[in-house]
Amino acid sequence: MEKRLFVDILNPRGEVETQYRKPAPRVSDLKGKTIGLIDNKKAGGREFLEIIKALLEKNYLGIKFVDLSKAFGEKYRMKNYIDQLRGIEAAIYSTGD
Amino acid sequence: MENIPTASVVCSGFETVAKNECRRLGMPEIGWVLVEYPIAGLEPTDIENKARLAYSTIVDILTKDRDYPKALPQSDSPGKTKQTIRLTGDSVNEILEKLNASFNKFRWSDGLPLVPPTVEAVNEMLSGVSLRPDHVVGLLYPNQGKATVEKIAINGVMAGCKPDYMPILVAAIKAITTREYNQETNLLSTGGFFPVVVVNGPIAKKAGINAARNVFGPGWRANATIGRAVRLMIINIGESWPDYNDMSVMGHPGKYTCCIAENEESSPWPSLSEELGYPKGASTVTVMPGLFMGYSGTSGGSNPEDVLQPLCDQLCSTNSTSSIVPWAQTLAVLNPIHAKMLHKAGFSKQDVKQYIFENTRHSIEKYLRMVKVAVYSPGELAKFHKNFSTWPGSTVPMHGSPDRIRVIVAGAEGTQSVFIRGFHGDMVSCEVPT
Repeated sequence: MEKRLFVDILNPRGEVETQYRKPAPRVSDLKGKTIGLIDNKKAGGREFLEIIKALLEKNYLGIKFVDLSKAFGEKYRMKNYIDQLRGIEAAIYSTGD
Repeated sequence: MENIPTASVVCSGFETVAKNECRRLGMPEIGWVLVEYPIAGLEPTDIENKARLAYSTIVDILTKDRDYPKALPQSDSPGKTKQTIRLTGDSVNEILEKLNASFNKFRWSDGLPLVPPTVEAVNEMLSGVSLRPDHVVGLLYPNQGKATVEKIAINGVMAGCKPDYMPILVAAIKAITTREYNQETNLLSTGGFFPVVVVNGPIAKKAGINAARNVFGPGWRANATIGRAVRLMIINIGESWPDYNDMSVMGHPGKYTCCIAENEESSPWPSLSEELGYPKGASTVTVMPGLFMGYSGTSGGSNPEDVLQPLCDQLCSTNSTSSIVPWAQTLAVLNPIHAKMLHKAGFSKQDVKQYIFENTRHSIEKYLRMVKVAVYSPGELAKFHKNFSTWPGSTVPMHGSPDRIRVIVAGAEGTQSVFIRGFHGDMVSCEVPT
Protein backbone atom coordinates (compact mmCIF):
# COMPACT_ATOMS: atom_id res chain seq x y z
CA MET A 1 0.00 0.00 0.00
CA GLU A 2 1.37 3.41 -0.85
CA LYS A 3 2.47 5.47 2.15
CA ARG A 4 0.18 8.47 2.42
CA LEU A 5 1.55 10.45 5.33
CA PHE A 6 4.91 12.06 5.80
CA VAL A 7 6.52 14.45 8.25
CA ASP A 8 9.75 16.39 7.72
CA ILE A 9 11.66 16.87 10.93
CA LEU A 10 14.78 18.87 11.62
CA ASN A 11 18.03 17.26 12.62
CA PRO A 12 18.76 17.82 16.32
CA ARG A 13 22.47 17.02 16.04
CA GLY A 14 24.98 19.81 16.40
CA GLU A 15 27.63 20.71 13.87
CA VAL A 16 31.08 19.76 15.05
CA GLU A 17 34.04 21.40 13.39
CA THR A 18 37.31 19.60 13.63
CA GLN A 19 40.55 20.14 11.81
CA TYR A 20 42.79 17.26 10.93
CA ARG A 21 45.90 17.16 13.06
CA LYS A 22 48.94 15.33 11.83
CA PRO A 23 50.49 13.20 14.57
CA ALA A 24 53.74 14.49 15.98
CA PRO A 25 56.90 12.95 14.48
CA ARG A 26 58.20 10.01 16.48
CA VAL A 27 61.52 10.09 18.30
CA SER A 28 64.01 7.86 16.52
CA ASP A 29 65.61 6.58 19.71
CA LEU A 30 64.85 7.00 23.39
CA LYS A 31 68.53 7.12 24.40
CA GLY A 32 69.31 10.41 26.12
CA LYS A 33 65.76 11.71 25.67
CA THR A 34 63.60 13.46 28.26
CA ILE A 35 60.25 11.73 28.74
CA GLY A 36 57.24 13.21 30.50
CA LEU A 37 55.48 10.67 32.73
CA ILE A 38 52.01 12.00 33.42
CA ASP A 39 49.29 10.42 35.48
CA ASN A 40 45.81 11.59 36.44
CA LYS A 41 46.30 11.07 40.17
CA LYS A 42 43.92 8.15 40.26
CA ALA A 43 44.98 5.01 42.10
CA GLY A 44 47.50 2.81 40.33
CA GLY A 45 48.46 5.22 37.56
CA ARG A 46 51.70 6.45 39.11
CA GLU A 47 52.72 2.95 40.20
CA PHE A 48 52.23 1.77 36.61
CA LEU A 49 54.45 4.56 35.30
CA GLU A 50 57.19 3.81 37.84
CA ILE A 51 57.49 0.27 36.42
CA ILE A 52 57.69 1.67 32.88
CA LYS A 53 60.32 4.17 34.07
CA ALA A 54 62.45 1.39 35.54
CA LEU A 55 62.25 -0.63 32.33
CA LEU A 56 63.16 2.38 30.18
CA GLU A 57 66.11 3.26 32.41
CA LYS A 58 67.39 -0.29 32.06
CA ASN A 59 67.15 -0.27 28.27
CA TYR A 60 67.99 3.30 27.25
CA LEU A 61 71.21 4.96 28.34
CA GLY A 62 70.92 8.54 29.55
CA ILE A 63 67.11 8.66 29.43
CA LYS A 64 65.65 11.30 31.72
CA PHE A 65 62.18 11.86 33.12
CA VAL A 66 59.83 14.65 34.19
CA ASP A 67 57.09 13.39 36.50
CA LEU A 68 53.75 15.12 36.65
CA SER A 69 50.57 14.14 38.46
CA LYS A 70 47.64 16.09 37.12
CA ALA A 71 44.13 15.66 38.45
CA PHE A 72 41.04 16.02 36.31
CA GLY A 73 39.38 19.40 36.37
CA GLU A 74 42.53 21.27 37.38
CA LYS A 75 42.33 23.70 34.52
CA TYR A 76 43.42 26.50 36.79
CA ARG A 77 46.83 24.87 36.98
CA MET A 78 47.22 24.15 33.29
CA LYS A 79 49.83 26.86 32.69
CA ASN A 80 51.94 25.46 35.55
CA TYR A 81 51.68 21.97 34.11
CA ILE A 82 52.71 23.11 30.66
CA ASP A 83 55.66 25.00 32.16
CA GLN A 84 56.72 21.89 34.06
CA LEU A 85 56.65 19.83 30.89
CA ARG A 86 58.70 22.18 28.74
CA GLY A 87 61.69 20.40 27.30
CA ILE A 88 60.20 16.92 27.15
CA GLU A 89 60.66 15.08 23.88
CA ALA A 90 58.00 12.40 24.34
CA ALA A 91 55.32 11.59 26.89
CA ILE A 92 53.55 8.65 28.45
CA TYR A 93 50.13 9.37 29.95
CA SER A 94 48.61 6.89 32.34
CA THR A 95 45.07 7.02 33.65
CA GLY A 96 44.63 5.07 36.84
CA ASP A 97 41.33 3.89 38.34
CA MET B 1 51.19 19.55 24.19
CA GLU B 2 51.65 20.05 20.49
CA ASN B 3 54.24 18.05 18.57
CA ILE B 4 55.15 15.78 21.45
CA PRO B 5 54.70 12.09 20.58
CA THR B 6 52.60 10.59 23.35
CA ALA B 7 51.69 7.05 24.34
CA SER B 8 48.43 7.01 26.29
CA VAL B 9 47.52 4.11 28.53
CA VAL B 10 43.83 3.33 28.15
CA CYS B 11 41.96 0.82 30.26
CA SER B 12 39.64 -1.68 28.62
CA GLY B 13 36.10 -0.36 28.72
CA PHE B 14 37.32 3.13 27.86
CA GLU B 15 38.40 2.47 24.26
CA THR B 16 35.30 4.14 22.86
CA VAL B 17 36.09 7.23 24.92
CA ALA B 18 39.64 7.18 23.55
CA LYS B 19 38.39 6.81 19.96
CA ASN B 20 35.91 9.61 20.48
CA GLU B 21 38.57 11.89 21.90
CA CYS B 22 40.76 11.20 18.88
CA ARG B 23 37.86 12.05 16.59
CA ARG B 24 37.07 15.20 18.59
CA LEU B 25 40.66 16.37 18.36
CA GLY B 26 40.98 15.48 14.68
CA MET B 27 43.65 12.91 15.38
CA PRO B 28 44.03 9.50 13.78
CA GLU B 29 43.42 6.65 16.20
CA ILE B 30 46.99 6.09 17.30
CA GLY B 31 48.96 6.58 20.40
CA TRP B 32 47.31 4.40 22.92
CA VAL B 33 48.05 1.07 24.54
CA LEU B 34 45.16 -0.94 25.90
CA VAL B 35 45.51 -2.31 29.41
CA GLU B 36 43.04 -4.59 31.11
CA TYR B 37 40.83 -2.77 33.63
CA PRO B 38 41.35 -2.02 36.47
CA ILE B 39 44.63 -0.48 37.49
CA ALA B 40 43.42 0.63 40.93
CA GLY B 41 43.18 -1.70 43.87
CA LEU B 42 45.71 -4.21 42.58
CA GLU B 43 48.66 -5.81 44.30
CA PRO B 44 51.99 -4.29 43.21
CA THR B 45 52.92 -7.45 41.32
CA ASP B 46 49.69 -7.27 39.30
CA ILE B 47 50.38 -3.65 38.34
CA GLU B 48 53.92 -4.66 37.41
CA ASN B 49 52.64 -7.46 35.18
CA LYS B 50 50.30 -5.09 33.35
CA ALA B 51 53.09 -2.54 32.93
CA ARG B 52 55.49 -5.17 31.55
CA LEU B 53 52.85 -6.34 29.07
CA ALA B 54 52.31 -2.76 27.90
CA TYR B 55 55.99 -1.75 27.74
CA SER B 56 56.93 -2.77 24.19
CA THR B 57 53.75 -1.21 22.74
CA ILE B 58 54.53 2.05 24.54
CA VAL B 59 58.03 2.10 23.07
CA ASP B 60 56.67 1.33 19.59
CA ILE B 61 54.14 4.15 19.79
CA LEU B 62 56.86 6.63 20.71
CA THR B 63 59.50 5.52 18.22
CA LYS B 64 57.96 3.85 15.17
CA ASP B 65 56.52 5.77 12.26
CA ARG B 66 53.49 4.31 10.60
CA ASP B 67 51.08 5.14 7.80
CA TYR B 68 48.59 7.48 9.34
CA PRO B 69 45.21 8.16 7.79
CA LYS B 70 45.36 11.45 5.92
CA ALA B 71 41.74 12.44 6.60
CA LEU B 72 39.60 13.03 9.64
CA PRO B 73 37.95 10.06 11.31
CA GLN B 74 34.28 10.08 10.33
CA SER B 75 31.49 10.37 12.83
CA ASP B 76 29.61 7.15 13.36
CA SER B 77 26.34 9.01 13.91
CA PRO B 78 24.12 8.27 10.89
CA GLY B 79 22.23 11.04 9.18
CA LYS B 80 24.34 13.58 10.93
CA THR B 81 24.77 15.92 8.03
CA LYS B 82 21.16 15.94 6.87
CA GLN B 83 19.29 19.09 7.69
CA THR B 84 15.83 17.47 7.47
CA ILE B 85 14.74 13.90 7.80
CA ARG B 86 11.53 12.64 6.20
CA LEU B 87 9.48 10.11 8.09
CA THR B 88 6.66 8.33 6.25
CA GLY B 89 3.87 6.05 7.38
CA ASP B 90 0.27 4.96 6.96
CA SER B 91 -0.71 6.62 10.22
CA VAL B 92 0.43 9.24 12.70
CA ASN B 93 1.15 6.45 15.16
CA GLU B 94 3.42 4.69 12.68
CA ILE B 95 5.35 7.92 12.05
CA LEU B 96 5.76 8.55 15.79
CA GLU B 97 6.97 4.98 16.29
CA LYS B 98 9.50 5.42 13.49
CA LEU B 99 10.71 8.69 14.99
CA ASN B 100 11.29 7.15 18.40
CA ALA B 101 12.71 3.88 17.12
CA SER B 102 15.20 5.57 14.79
CA PHE B 103 16.23 8.31 17.23
CA ASN B 104 16.84 5.71 19.92
CA LYS B 105 18.86 3.61 17.49
CA PHE B 106 20.96 6.63 16.46
CA ARG B 107 21.54 7.62 20.12
CA TRP B 108 19.61 10.87 19.59
CA SER B 109 17.14 10.34 22.41
CA ASP B 110 16.95 10.09 26.21
CA GLY B 111 14.78 6.99 25.93
CA LEU B 112 11.46 8.76 26.54
CA PRO B 113 8.98 9.40 23.69
CA LEU B 114 9.92 12.46 21.67
CA VAL B 115 7.87 15.27 20.16
CA PRO B 116 8.60 15.49 16.40
CA PRO B 117 10.69 18.61 15.69
CA THR B 118 8.79 19.66 12.57
CA VAL B 119 9.74 22.83 10.74
CA GLU B 120 6.50 24.44 11.93
CA ALA B 121 7.07 23.50 15.58
CA VAL B 122 10.67 24.69 15.51
CA ASN B 123 9.73 28.00 13.91
CA GLU B 124 7.18 28.50 16.64
CA MET B 125 9.78 27.70 19.27
CA LEU B 126 12.19 30.19 17.68
CA SER B 127 9.58 32.93 18.14
CA GLY B 128 10.31 32.70 21.88
CA VAL B 129 13.57 34.66 21.47
CA SER B 130 14.66 37.44 19.16
CA LEU B 131 18.06 35.88 18.43
CA ARG B 132 19.09 34.72 14.96
CA PRO B 133 18.69 30.98 14.47
CA ASP B 134 22.32 30.60 13.42
CA HIS B 135 23.66 32.47 16.47
CA VAL B 136 26.02 30.17 18.36
CA VAL B 137 25.26 30.30 22.08
CA GLY B 138 28.16 28.04 23.01
CA LEU B 139 30.01 24.80 22.26
CA LEU B 140 28.70 21.74 24.09
CA TYR B 141 30.98 18.96 25.22
CA PRO B 142 32.02 16.25 24.83
CA ASN B 143 32.42 16.91 21.11
CA GLN B 144 32.13 20.71 21.19
CA GLY B 145 29.07 20.76 18.99
CA LYS B 146 27.71 24.20 18.12
CA ALA B 147 24.65 25.00 20.20
CA THR B 148 22.96 27.38 17.78
CA VAL B 149 19.64 28.95 18.67
CA GLU B 150 18.02 26.72 16.04
CA LYS B 151 19.50 23.51 17.48
CA ILE B 152 18.38 24.61 20.94
CA ALA B 153 14.87 25.11 19.55
CA ILE B 154 14.87 21.70 17.83
CA ASN B 155 15.84 19.89 21.02
CA GLY B 156 13.42 22.05 22.98
CA VAL B 157 10.56 20.90 20.74
CA MET B 158 11.65 17.27 21.11
CA ALA B 159 11.55 17.64 24.89
CA GLY B 160 8.06 19.11 24.81
CA CYS B 161 8.99 22.72 25.61
CA LYS B 162 6.87 25.76 24.77
CA PRO B 163 8.22 28.90 23.04
CA ASP B 164 8.06 30.78 26.39
CA TYR B 165 10.84 28.48 27.65
CA MET B 166 13.31 29.40 24.88
CA PRO B 167 15.02 32.26 26.78
CA ILE B 168 15.55 29.87 29.70
CA LEU B 169 17.05 27.18 27.44
CA VAL B 170 19.39 29.69 25.81
CA ALA B 171 20.55 31.03 29.18
CA ALA B 172 21.03 27.48 30.53
CA ILE B 173 23.25 26.50 27.61
CA LYS B 174 25.16 29.75 27.89
CA ALA B 175 25.85 28.93 31.56
CA ILE B 176 26.84 25.32 30.87
CA THR B 177 29.28 26.31 28.13
CA THR B 178 31.26 28.71 30.36
CA ARG B 179 34.74 27.83 31.52
CA GLU B 180 33.62 27.95 35.15
CA TYR B 181 30.96 25.28 34.70
CA ASN B 182 33.71 22.89 33.55
CA GLN B 183 31.41 20.74 31.42
CA GLU B 184 34.37 18.88 29.89
CA THR B 185 34.95 17.20 33.26
CA ASN B 186 31.49 16.76 34.75
CA LEU B 187 29.79 15.61 31.54
CA LEU B 188 32.30 12.77 31.03
CA SER B 189 32.92 11.80 34.64
CA THR B 190 32.32 8.38 36.19
CA GLY B 191 30.19 10.26 38.73
CA GLY B 192 26.50 10.73 37.99
CA PHE B 193 26.56 14.48 37.37
CA PHE B 194 23.32 16.20 36.43
CA PRO B 195 22.77 19.89 35.55
CA VAL B 196 20.60 21.51 38.24
CA VAL B 197 18.72 24.40 36.64
CA VAL B 198 17.36 27.10 38.99
CA VAL B 199 15.27 29.89 37.49
CA ASN B 200 14.68 33.28 39.12
CA GLY B 201 12.61 36.31 38.23
CA PRO B 202 9.49 37.00 36.19
CA ILE B 203 10.43 34.46 33.51
CA ALA B 204 9.81 31.66 36.02
CA LYS B 205 6.21 32.69 36.48
CA LYS B 206 5.71 33.35 32.77
CA ALA B 207 6.97 29.86 31.94
CA GLY B 208 4.92 28.29 34.75
CA ILE B 209 7.88 26.72 36.56
CA ASN B 210 6.91 25.14 39.86
CA ALA B 211 8.69 26.48 42.94
CA ALA B 212 6.43 25.07 45.62
CA ARG B 213 5.16 21.62 46.63
CA ASN B 214 6.92 18.68 44.93
CA VAL B 215 9.35 21.15 43.42
CA PHE B 216 11.80 18.40 42.37
CA GLY B 217 8.98 16.04 41.37
CA PRO B 218 6.65 15.53 38.41
CA GLY B 219 3.56 17.45 37.40
CA TRP B 220 4.69 20.68 35.74
CA ARG B 221 5.43 20.81 32.02
CA ALA B 222 8.05 23.54 32.40
CA ASN B 223 10.04 21.77 35.12
CA ALA B 224 9.87 18.45 33.27
CA THR B 225 10.71 19.66 29.78
CA ILE B 226 13.28 22.41 30.39
CA GLY B 227 15.57 20.03 32.26
CA ARG B 228 14.86 17.36 29.66
CA ALA B 229 15.74 19.72 26.81
CA VAL B 230 19.09 20.47 28.48
CA ARG B 231 19.87 16.73 28.57
CA LEU B 232 18.76 16.24 24.95
CA MET B 233 21.11 19.05 23.93
CA ILE B 234 23.99 17.42 25.78
CA ILE B 235 23.14 14.18 23.93
CA ASN B 236 22.54 15.63 20.50
CA ILE B 237 24.71 18.73 20.26
CA GLY B 238 27.45 17.60 22.63
CA GLU B 239 27.15 13.99 21.38
CA SER B 240 27.22 12.53 24.87
CA TRP B 241 26.23 8.89 25.29
CA PRO B 242 26.77 6.20 27.96
CA ASP B 243 29.89 4.12 27.35
CA TYR B 244 30.72 6.28 24.37
CA ASN B 245 31.97 9.23 26.36
CA ASP B 246 29.58 9.57 29.31
CA MET B 247 31.30 7.16 31.68
CA SER B 248 28.98 7.60 34.64
CA VAL B 249 29.02 4.35 36.59
CA MET B 250 25.51 4.60 38.07
CA GLY B 251 23.95 7.64 36.38
CA HIS B 252 21.32 9.64 38.24
CA PRO B 253 17.58 10.31 37.76
CA GLY B 254 18.47 14.00 37.62
CA LYS B 255 20.11 13.30 34.26
CA TYR B 256 16.60 13.03 32.79
CA THR B 257 15.56 16.44 34.13
CA CYS B 258 16.23 18.77 37.02
CA CYS B 259 14.71 22.24 36.78
CA ILE B 260 13.07 24.32 39.49
CA ALA B 261 12.27 27.92 40.27
CA GLU B 262 13.18 29.61 43.54
CA ASN B 263 10.10 30.28 45.66
CA GLU B 264 10.83 34.00 45.84
CA GLU B 265 7.36 34.91 47.13
CA SER B 266 7.81 32.74 50.19
CA SER B 267 11.42 33.70 50.86
CA PRO B 268 12.29 36.23 53.59
CA TRP B 269 15.66 36.86 51.95
CA PRO B 270 17.03 38.27 48.70
CA SER B 271 16.80 35.75 45.86
CA LEU B 272 19.70 33.72 44.50
CA SER B 273 19.71 36.07 41.53
CA GLU B 274 20.14 39.15 43.75
CA GLU B 275 22.75 37.35 45.84
CA LEU B 276 24.73 36.78 42.65
CA GLY B 277 24.66 40.48 41.82
CA TYR B 278 21.73 40.80 39.45
CA PRO B 279 19.26 43.65 39.99
CA LYS B 280 16.02 42.87 41.82
CA GLY B 281 13.47 41.63 39.34
CA ALA B 282 15.99 40.30 36.82
CA SER B 283 15.25 36.96 35.20
CA THR B 284 18.18 34.60 35.49
CA VAL B 285 19.06 30.95 35.05
CA THR B 286 21.64 29.35 37.36
CA VAL B 287 23.06 25.94 36.51
CA MET B 288 25.10 23.78 38.87
CA PRO B 289 26.82 20.43 38.18
CA GLY B 290 25.02 18.40 40.82
CA LEU B 291 26.47 15.12 42.02
CA PHE B 292 24.11 14.00 44.75
CA MET B 293 21.14 15.17 46.72
CA GLY B 294 20.16 14.58 50.32
CA TYR B 295 17.18 15.24 52.53
CA SER B 296 17.08 16.47 56.05
CA GLY B 297 13.97 16.52 58.16
CA THR B 298 13.12 18.11 61.47
CA SER B 299 10.57 16.85 63.92
CA GLY B 300 9.86 20.27 65.32
CA GLY B 301 11.71 22.86 67.34
CA SER B 302 12.01 26.54 66.76
CA ASN B 303 15.75 27.11 67.05
CA PRO B 304 18.05 27.58 64.08
CA GLU B 305 19.96 24.50 65.17
CA ASP B 306 16.78 22.42 64.90
CA VAL B 307 16.61 23.32 61.19
CA LEU B 308 20.23 23.51 60.16
CA GLN B 309 21.99 20.88 62.23
CA PRO B 310 20.15 17.91 60.66
CA LEU B 311 21.05 19.30 57.23
CA CYS B 312 24.71 19.67 58.27
CA ASP B 313 24.77 16.18 59.78
CA GLN B 314 23.31 14.73 56.59
CA LEU B 315 25.86 16.58 54.45
CA CYS B 316 28.72 15.34 56.61
CA SER B 317 27.52 11.76 56.41
CA THR B 318 28.37 11.67 52.70
CA ASN B 319 31.52 9.92 51.62
CA SER B 320 33.04 10.78 48.28
CA THR B 321 35.80 12.91 46.84
CA SER B 322 33.34 15.79 46.61
CA SER B 323 32.82 15.59 50.37
CA ILE B 324 36.40 16.65 51.04
CA VAL B 325 37.51 18.96 48.25
CA PRO B 326 37.07 22.47 49.61
CA TRP B 327 36.12 24.06 46.29
CA ALA B 328 33.04 21.84 45.80
CA GLN B 329 29.78 23.71 46.29
CA THR B 330 26.59 23.03 48.19
CA LEU B 331 23.15 24.30 47.28
CA ALA B 332 20.92 24.30 50.37
CA VAL B 333 17.24 24.30 49.40
CA LEU B 334 15.22 25.34 52.44
CA ASN B 335 11.46 25.03 52.54
CA PRO B 336 9.56 28.27 53.35
CA ILE B 337 8.81 27.31 56.97
CA HIS B 338 12.48 26.61 57.67
CA ALA B 339 13.47 29.85 56.00
CA LYS B 340 10.93 31.91 57.99
CA MET B 341 11.98 30.25 61.22
CA LEU B 342 15.62 31.13 60.58
CA HIS B 343 14.75 34.67 59.53
CA LYS B 344 12.65 35.16 62.67
CA ALA B 345 15.65 34.04 64.72
CA GLY B 346 17.66 36.83 63.08
CA PHE B 347 19.46 34.73 60.47
CA SER B 348 20.32 36.30 57.15
CA LYS B 349 21.30 34.10 54.19
CA GLN B 350 24.92 34.82 55.04
CA ASP B 351 24.31 33.61 58.62
CA VAL B 352 22.84 30.39 57.25
CA LYS B 353 25.90 29.90 55.05
CA GLN B 354 28.22 30.60 57.97
CA TYR B 355 26.38 28.07 60.14
CA ILE B 356 26.59 25.38 57.48
CA PHE B 357 30.27 26.16 56.91
CA GLU B 358 31.11 25.88 60.62
CA ASN B 359 29.05 22.76 61.20
CA THR B 360 30.05 20.65 58.22
CA ARG B 361 33.40 19.38 59.34
CA HIS B 362 34.93 15.92 59.17
CA SER B 363 36.97 14.39 61.96
CA ILE B 364 40.60 14.13 60.93
CA GLU B 365 40.37 10.33 61.09
CA LYS B 366 37.46 10.26 58.63
CA TYR B 367 39.12 12.90 56.44
CA LEU B 368 42.39 10.98 56.14
CA ARG B 369 40.45 7.80 55.40
CA MET B 370 38.47 9.50 52.61
CA VAL B 371 41.54 11.22 51.19
CA LYS B 372 43.16 7.82 50.71
CA VAL B 373 40.60 6.89 48.07
CA ALA B 374 40.38 10.38 46.58
CA VAL B 375 42.76 11.70 43.96
CA TYR B 376 44.28 14.46 46.06
CA SER B 377 46.86 14.20 48.78
CA PRO B 378 46.14 15.63 52.26
CA GLY B 379 49.01 18.08 51.74
CA GLU B 380 47.46 19.37 48.56
CA LEU B 381 44.04 19.96 50.08
CA ALA B 382 45.58 21.41 53.24
CA LYS B 383 46.65 24.46 51.23
CA PHE B 384 42.99 25.43 50.98
CA HIS B 385 42.35 25.32 54.73
CA LYS B 386 43.56 27.70 57.37
CA ASN B 387 45.05 26.05 60.46
CA PHE B 388 44.96 22.57 58.94
CA SER B 389 46.07 20.03 61.51
CA THR B 390 46.29 16.24 61.65
CA TRP B 391 46.34 16.09 65.45
CA PRO B 392 43.79 13.63 66.89
CA GLY B 393 40.60 15.51 67.66
CA SER B 394 41.09 17.99 64.79
CA THR B 395 38.37 18.59 62.25
CA VAL B 396 38.48 19.73 58.63
CA PRO B 397 35.71 21.78 57.01
CA MET B 398 33.92 20.40 53.96
CA HIS B 399 33.78 23.84 52.37
CA GLY B 400 36.68 26.15 51.61
CA SER B 401 34.58 29.13 52.76
CA PRO B 402 30.93 30.04 53.41
CA ASP B 403 30.81 31.40 49.85
CA ARG B 404 30.99 27.85 48.48
CA ILE B 405 27.48 27.46 49.87
CA ARG B 406 24.38 28.92 48.24
CA VAL B 407 20.94 29.01 49.82
CA ILE B 408 17.57 29.17 48.09
CA VAL B 409 14.00 28.78 49.25
CA ALA B 410 11.81 26.28 47.41
CA GLY B 411 9.25 23.59 48.05
CA ALA B 412 6.18 23.67 50.24
CA GLU B 413 5.90 24.55 53.89
CA GLY B 414 6.89 21.45 55.79
CA THR B 415 9.57 19.73 57.77
CA GLN B 416 11.99 18.74 54.99
CA SER B 417 14.77 20.65 53.34
CA VAL B 418 17.28 19.43 50.83
CA PHE B 419 20.89 19.93 49.83
CA ILE B 420 22.58 19.28 46.51
CA ARG B 421 26.31 18.75 46.49
CA GLY B 422 28.15 19.86 43.39
CA PHE B 423 31.64 19.16 42.13
CA HIS B 424 33.83 19.39 39.03
CA GLY B 425 32.61 22.84 38.19
CA ASP B 426 30.95 25.91 39.63
CA MET B 427 27.41 27.18 39.74
CA VAL B 428 27.05 29.67 36.87
CA SER B 429 24.29 32.22 36.28
CA CYS B 430 23.19 33.97 33.13
CA GLU B 431 20.52 36.55 32.51
CA VAL B 432 17.83 35.36 30.13
CA PRO B 433 17.84 36.98 26.70
CA THR B 434 14.77 38.79 25.41
